[in-house]
Amino acid sequence: MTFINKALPLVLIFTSNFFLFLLSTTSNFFLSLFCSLAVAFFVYMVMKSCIEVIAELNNRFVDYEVLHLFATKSFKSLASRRNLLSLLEEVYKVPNARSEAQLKMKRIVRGMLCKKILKAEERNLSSATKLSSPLTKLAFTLLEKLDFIDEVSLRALVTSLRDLSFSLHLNAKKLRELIAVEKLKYKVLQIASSMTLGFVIKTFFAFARFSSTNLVSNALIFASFALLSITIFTVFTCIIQLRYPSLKDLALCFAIFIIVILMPPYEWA
Amino acid sequence: MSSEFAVILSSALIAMFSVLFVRQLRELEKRSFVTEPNPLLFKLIPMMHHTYRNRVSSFIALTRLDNACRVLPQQLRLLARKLSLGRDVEPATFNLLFLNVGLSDPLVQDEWKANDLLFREAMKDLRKKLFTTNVRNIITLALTGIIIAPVIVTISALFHQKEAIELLPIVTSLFYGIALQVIIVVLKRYALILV
Repeated sequence: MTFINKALPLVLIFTSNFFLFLLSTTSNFFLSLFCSLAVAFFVYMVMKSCIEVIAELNNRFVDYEVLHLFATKSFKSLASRRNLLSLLEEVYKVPNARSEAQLKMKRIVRGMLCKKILKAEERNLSSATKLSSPLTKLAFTLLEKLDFIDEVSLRALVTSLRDLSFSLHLNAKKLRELIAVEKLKYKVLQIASSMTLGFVIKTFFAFARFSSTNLVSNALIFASFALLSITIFTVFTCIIQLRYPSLKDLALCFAIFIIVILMPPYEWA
Repeated sequence: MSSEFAVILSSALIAMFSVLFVRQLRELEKRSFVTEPNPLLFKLIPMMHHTYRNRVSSFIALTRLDNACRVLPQQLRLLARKLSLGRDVEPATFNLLFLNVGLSDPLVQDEWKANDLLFREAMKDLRKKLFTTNVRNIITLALTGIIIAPVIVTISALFHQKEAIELLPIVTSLFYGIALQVIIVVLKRYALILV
């Protein structure tokens, strides 16, 4: 349901731009409407899949953090707790549940303790506890299924888990940092591109006014093409950066494009 | 080419690119995010060594874990079956990595030596795949290309208006298709560092 809600506004914007573009190209209303509706369905499919993949990848990052938190806390508690059950109890007693990963880790450990002590599944297991990363899932399943583990092996297991989760967490963190650094750069590039498109179309409009009337309709075609291009690059840039396509970015780019066209001097060129 | 024909063709192209993209995405999700052997998974091997001490049982214990995890590479499952059940695995299905590390007959060979070789090979593979990923360059190329392309297309189309206007719907659909393919390339790179 969430995916539908997130995909719908984008599909509506894309379809309306596409309809405008087709209508300016052919001036056949019914053909434009039919083609736009058909395209809307396919674009909806694409957006829905993209949003699903973004959600999946972001869940993976949280899962790596969960594993990392669990392994680090367990490693720290190894000195005082020497069997798996008491180690899990110690990890569960982490005082503050500030982040999403910390909350998730606490819920998972609580579920494991329920299974190990009460031999029963926890009833209030929410969907937020569901792990997306197969490796994290495997690590927790392994811990859940271990009935007996001696002190030396427990130490080795926790150390290995910590090493493993450290490299995973580091990779995910590096990728997130890289995306965050690039984000600003590409936002500026998006705005610059929208401005350039606006400037090109404005110049063309100015030339068109002084020449034949046919050029004005051509200018409208180019303007709607530019609007459609802005929609495509804004939406897909967000997807590459593992963010949900933002309507705010889209509105900003559209606004800049339109402002550059409408901005004085009107008698320019 | 009439404008009606160009409009229909561009819609058909967008539909085709969308279907292709969704199929590629499903394939990528199925292979890279869930079942395909990811080099980082081989880090599990030393972890199981520590846990179970006995090296053969570490593989077998891995295969007895929840099947829904679907995390084990097929080769590891086959190796575990071969080690636990004897020689009932067909040699034809037993290929790839293990043949390279001298595990043609693991029951005869020294298990410790075989596992060390396996681990070393896996680590080599891990290093090769992870450090040649080059995510930054791919993102830079992909994003810059997607953002700059419309400006170049618009300017060049303005110089040849008559021909360009008829072709513009097709150019739009091609731009859409290329953007989708670029997304797939970047997601494939992301998949390399995810397990």
